Amino acid sequence: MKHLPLKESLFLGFCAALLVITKAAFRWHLGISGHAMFFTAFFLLLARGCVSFRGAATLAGLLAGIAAALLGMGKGGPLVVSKVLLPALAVDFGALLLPWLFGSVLLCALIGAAAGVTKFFGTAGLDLLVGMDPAVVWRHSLLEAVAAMAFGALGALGIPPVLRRLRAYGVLNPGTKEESR
Amino acid sequence: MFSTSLPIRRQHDQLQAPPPLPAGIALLLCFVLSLAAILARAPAALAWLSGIDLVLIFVQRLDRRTLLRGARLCLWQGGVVTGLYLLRYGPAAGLWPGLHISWQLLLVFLPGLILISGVSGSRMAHALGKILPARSAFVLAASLKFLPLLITEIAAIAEAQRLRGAKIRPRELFWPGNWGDLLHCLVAPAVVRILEIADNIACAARIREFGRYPARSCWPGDREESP
Repeated sequence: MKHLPLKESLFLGFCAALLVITKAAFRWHLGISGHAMFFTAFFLLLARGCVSFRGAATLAGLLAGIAAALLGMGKGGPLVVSKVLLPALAVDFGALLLPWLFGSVLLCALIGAAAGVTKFFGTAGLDLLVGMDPAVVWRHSLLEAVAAMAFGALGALGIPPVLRRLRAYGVLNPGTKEESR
Repeated sequence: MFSTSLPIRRQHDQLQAPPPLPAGIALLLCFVLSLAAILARAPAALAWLSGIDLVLIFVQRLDRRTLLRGARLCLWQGGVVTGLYLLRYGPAAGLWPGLHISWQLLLVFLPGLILISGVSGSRMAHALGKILPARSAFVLAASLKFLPLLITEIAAIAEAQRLRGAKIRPRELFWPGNWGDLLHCLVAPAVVRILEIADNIACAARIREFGRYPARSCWPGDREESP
């Protein structure tokens, strides 16, 4: 984080805080499995799209994970960090492989779905740690991951229009947001 | 542009209430109890952890709203896990393992819900500085501290856009045709505002020579007193 300007670090912090608070706010009202990935994918892709730094989504994910763990959110206690960090790593990896992804709705949806897939590992890890039966673990994790993929893809769909609008406002530097350094 | 005194005054009022437990101890207890719940298998150990959580509920003087939130999560999570066990093993063999795992999962998240709800933002920031690098602690604490301001700003933008005719009321968002309005009229201006606030905070911190010393420095009033 020390290599990043303070303004951009704070922006990532705000993305993390909004991610945590939207997850908290919508958890109770919807009650649908995996819907939190909608906001996770959206804010992580927004962080990576606005801050042209290779690990931007990972940093935002890490901050969100720490905040969520400290605020006692999620079903994993301290392991909730991994639940946000894994999608963040998927977003950063996707942005590294596909530097032009923020201009394409389809590619953003693909990366959002990829972020949703990571829910499988987070859920399976926690379930296995608490000693759940493996047969139930795989079903439970698969159920969560499929729903998370769908919601992750949906959340990511909103990113290209927002970034296009921000570029039109002149808020983002045109040379840096579509090309990851 | 918008009034910022209300959330700040509210935060100031929260600071006046004496914390039941120091923030550092609350964070440490939260981590240790959650980890213990993950590692514990025997019902006796889980019963001990439940007892500790019950004591903490009284010590932290949790409000009814927080308790209701915990109860709802308990019912939802317990229902899903027990239901899966019943489907897999049938009512006779699946009921106790399902309830046992649900109990364990509840004990994983409960310490966080109990302990962190009673800790104020500035004490949390100071405690965070002990476990994170100074810069990361500042970023995280500032983001959490300015979150009420950010929400007020977003609400003001939403109100202004609604007055201009944007269809972004909750009931209007059930229709996918209005999602474009949400992105263009609310999300994009909100991101611009977030960047402005981040710039202002960064500017203020730079003027106060933030980053000059490796350890975080703060006003004496923000320091957490020893228990």
